[in-house]
Amino acid sequence: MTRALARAALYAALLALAALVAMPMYWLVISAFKSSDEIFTATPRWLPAALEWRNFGRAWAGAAFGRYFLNSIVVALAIVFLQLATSSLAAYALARRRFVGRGIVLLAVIGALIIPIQVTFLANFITLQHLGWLDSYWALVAPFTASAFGTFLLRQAFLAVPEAMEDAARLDRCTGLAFLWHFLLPLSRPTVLAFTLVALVTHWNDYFWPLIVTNRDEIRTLPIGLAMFVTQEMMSDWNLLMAATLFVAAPMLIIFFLTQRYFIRSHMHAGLKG
Amino acid sequence: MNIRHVLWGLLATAAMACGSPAGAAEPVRLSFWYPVDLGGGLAKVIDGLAADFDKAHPDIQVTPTYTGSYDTTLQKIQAAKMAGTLPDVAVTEISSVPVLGALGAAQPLDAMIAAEGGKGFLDKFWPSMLLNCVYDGKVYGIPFQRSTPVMYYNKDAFKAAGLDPDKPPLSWDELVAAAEKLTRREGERVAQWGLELPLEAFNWFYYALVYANGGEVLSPDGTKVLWDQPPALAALGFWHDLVNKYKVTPAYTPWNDGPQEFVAGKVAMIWHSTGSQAFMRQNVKFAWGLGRLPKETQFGPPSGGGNLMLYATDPARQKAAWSFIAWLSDAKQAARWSIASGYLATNIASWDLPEMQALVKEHPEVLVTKEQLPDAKMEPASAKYAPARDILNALIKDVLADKVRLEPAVKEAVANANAAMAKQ
Amino acid sequence: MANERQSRGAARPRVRAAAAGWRKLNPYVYLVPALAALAVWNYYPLIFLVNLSFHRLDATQPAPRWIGLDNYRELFAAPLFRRVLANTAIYTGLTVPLSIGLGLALALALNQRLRGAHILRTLFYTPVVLPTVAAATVALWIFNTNYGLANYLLGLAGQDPVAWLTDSDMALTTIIAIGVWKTFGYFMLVYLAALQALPQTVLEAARLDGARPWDRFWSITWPLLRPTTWFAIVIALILSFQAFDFVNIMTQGGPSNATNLLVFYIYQHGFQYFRLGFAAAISVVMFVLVYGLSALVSLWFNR
Repeated sequence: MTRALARAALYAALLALAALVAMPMYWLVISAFKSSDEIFTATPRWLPAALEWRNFGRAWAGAAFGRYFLNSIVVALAIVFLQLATSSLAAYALARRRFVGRGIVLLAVIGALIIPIQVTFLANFITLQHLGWLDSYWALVAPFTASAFGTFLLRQAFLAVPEAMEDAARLDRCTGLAFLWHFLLPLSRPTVLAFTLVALVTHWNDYFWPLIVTNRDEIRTLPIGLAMFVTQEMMSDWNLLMAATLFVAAPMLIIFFLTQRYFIRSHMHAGLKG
Repeated sequence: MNIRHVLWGLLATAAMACGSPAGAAEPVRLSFWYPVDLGGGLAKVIDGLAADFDKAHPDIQVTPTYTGSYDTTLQKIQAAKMAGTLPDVAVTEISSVPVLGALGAAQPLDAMIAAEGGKGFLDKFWPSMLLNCVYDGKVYGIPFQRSTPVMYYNKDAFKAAGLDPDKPPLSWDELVAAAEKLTRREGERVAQWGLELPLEAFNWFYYALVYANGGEVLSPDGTKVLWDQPPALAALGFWHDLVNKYKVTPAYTPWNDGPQEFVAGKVAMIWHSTGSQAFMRQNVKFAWGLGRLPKETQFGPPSGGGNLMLYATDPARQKAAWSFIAWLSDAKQAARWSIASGYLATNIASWDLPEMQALVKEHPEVLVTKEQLPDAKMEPASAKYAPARDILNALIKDVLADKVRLEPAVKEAVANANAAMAKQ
Repeated sequence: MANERQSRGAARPRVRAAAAGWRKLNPYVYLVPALAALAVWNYYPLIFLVNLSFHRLDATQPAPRWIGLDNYRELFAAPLFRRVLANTAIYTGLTVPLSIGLGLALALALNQRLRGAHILRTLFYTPVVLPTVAAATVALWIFNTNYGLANYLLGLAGQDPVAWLTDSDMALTTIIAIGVWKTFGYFMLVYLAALQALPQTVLEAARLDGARPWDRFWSITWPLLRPTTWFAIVIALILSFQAFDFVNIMTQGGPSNATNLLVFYIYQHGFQYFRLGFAAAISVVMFVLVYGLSALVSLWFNR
């Protein structure tokens, strides 16, 4: 009897929290469809009078969102590609080879996990300034060339591949990089996909670093473009702002909804710190 | 990972390698950075102006880029100076003129002005606007999007409170009297405030109060603040009293909230930029008016807004950039920008043009903004003022919230500000 | 190895030696890209910042000049620094336990084979995937003093409107709430994964013995989750830097420095006042605090 009551209470609490979490997102969506005179009303409207699809067109035209989209795609893909490349090579060495200093290297990789861009940004900015790379794609990508998280994840995955397989592959003259490419990576596909997705979302959403290193409009990524648009329209056109926010957030939300299990998988490995 | 992923990755890397565009041989491509601290839609006007300039000058192409608020734009320019990626022309807040001049980021314009007729060229502009264009004896800025504070007031609320809707208060005493009549309370809650003075990063209305009281804010050499001098102290004391003694003003109104609250009928009189006229026209549903800022000993609204400054160092680019600046300052363009944005027409001749006459006919309150210009005073500015500005901002907030006692707090702030400026 | 010798024969000792040498070297070669990048962009900055903190480098001093400990002296004497430290301590001290605690509670709740658990799980994780800019923009609108949803709801409940982002006593609380909203879903997943990996036998045995759920949790589950909790705390410390995005877009450190956090303070001095030497000193203090805290946490969890 009390068990059913406890369950009901649990459900109620969960639903209340769900409402609290979902409310901002619901508000985002309906505000994006409101017409301009539904914004400054005494009582907020829970449903817009009509779906004002034009808001999306007007918001899109309000700033160079097409260009920002392209930049975000290029930068995110470049970062993910580079991180996969550097991480798989490093993970291979750490997982499948014994060498002097392996322990130290592993510690160095793990140590880098807790040195985020918010600590290093000042130095990296000056480094890029010396290189003359400020305000370019290089600036947006370079500090993220390697990923401690990716290296760690892939190492875990590679460790799970049995030695016997490597010996068998060696018989077929498949060693080193060939082994990595033909065996380790395909066998770790779920982990690779998980990492790719997490890294993609993380760097698509980057705001802090692009803010620091970009000035030109041509180079701006979506989060910066949106933030600029917010400053521009903050006094009046909230419906346009919400529309713009929606199309900036939508790609990642869609990717997330479609590939949830990979996001969850990325936690499976991370949580078991050995 | 399969071959397709690799190809995508290579494509991305290749796109990245070609991503940074090289400068074109001709026409001269000018980068133009601008902030717009009001509601949007003005980006289109800027784009329109740039397009028209390009048509009239086929050998030059202007690329406007919106760069955020005044502060963000200043930061970007400072960062660009360090990175060597300065734009050719940019609009910055008028108090940045000494900062950018001292930094060596902006170029002095005296030679170019001389070529255009020297004093004759400068006489085109309202003299009060030119006060904030000079650093170290040289002209660095040309007025572009300039404003002064004005008082927007709710004529319907005036009538309801038994005040003459065509006679907004012109002195501090009148202001307090009107505000007291206009403040409506429902029990504990305030249904309508009599007056609001929004606070933003530049402390504009503090300056307005100090000047109206005949005081000054910054020493002429720009190294010491004068907030503890009697007129300034009394001005801040007056603001404090509006909040805490007469209780007609809330302790803090953010800059962006002000017009929204006026539209919502939550405040009957609000000080804000002339630039907010467009927002008011679009959104206010009651009868409203525009009045000049009241005086205590003198009328002296602080100047505000942005100037055009030149950053290009290459002589050919400088020439092109200057022609853009000069074109924007012509009566016709100044009028066009003013009508679209609500900023003041910087060119005196603009006011005689038919389009401005039409605007005045349709919106007679615009004349009030013109009326204030001869009395407008300089916005405090110096190369080292930046930390002082933030200290003042925090001081005002604390005084109005009644968290500190006026005189000791002001003295401490003055000491901190002078010390901070010395370190810059 | 033996196979190799057989198949290739003993005919080319030099090539074999070269091949063996290469084999010995290639782990290091494989590590070079990742380690070089980590060295340049993660480790070198730490050294660089320490060095820069002893110099003066700003808009009027474009070449670094040695000034010893002056930056630190100025920093520790600045009243604003103490305020920023307090703000950061409050922010971190609240968001870390709240987001981890909420995440854990939800993981426990959702681990019980409830109907619709996966929908709830997706919903709770969605804020994590949302860009901070998007969350900040929506929050700006929801917490708008005059037209925002939050004050409307308060009004429905008969309360006075609150100046969520513009009252200096309220602003930090609002930022904390947004920070927790944004990250708790991440910890929910971390704990869910950990819970599902727990050895079920011990828990079964305890249940059969009649132990109450609360006792089962404290005596068995919680200790087993220690490594996860340790990991969560360290990650939460790193995630708390995200607050910069909210502060930069929503409050710019205000009102009256109520939401000025360490990471924003560094940005303020580095990129608004352009005092890079001074900003470097603040950065050094920040990473000493963060790593000191992480080290303390790690020590505590591994005692």
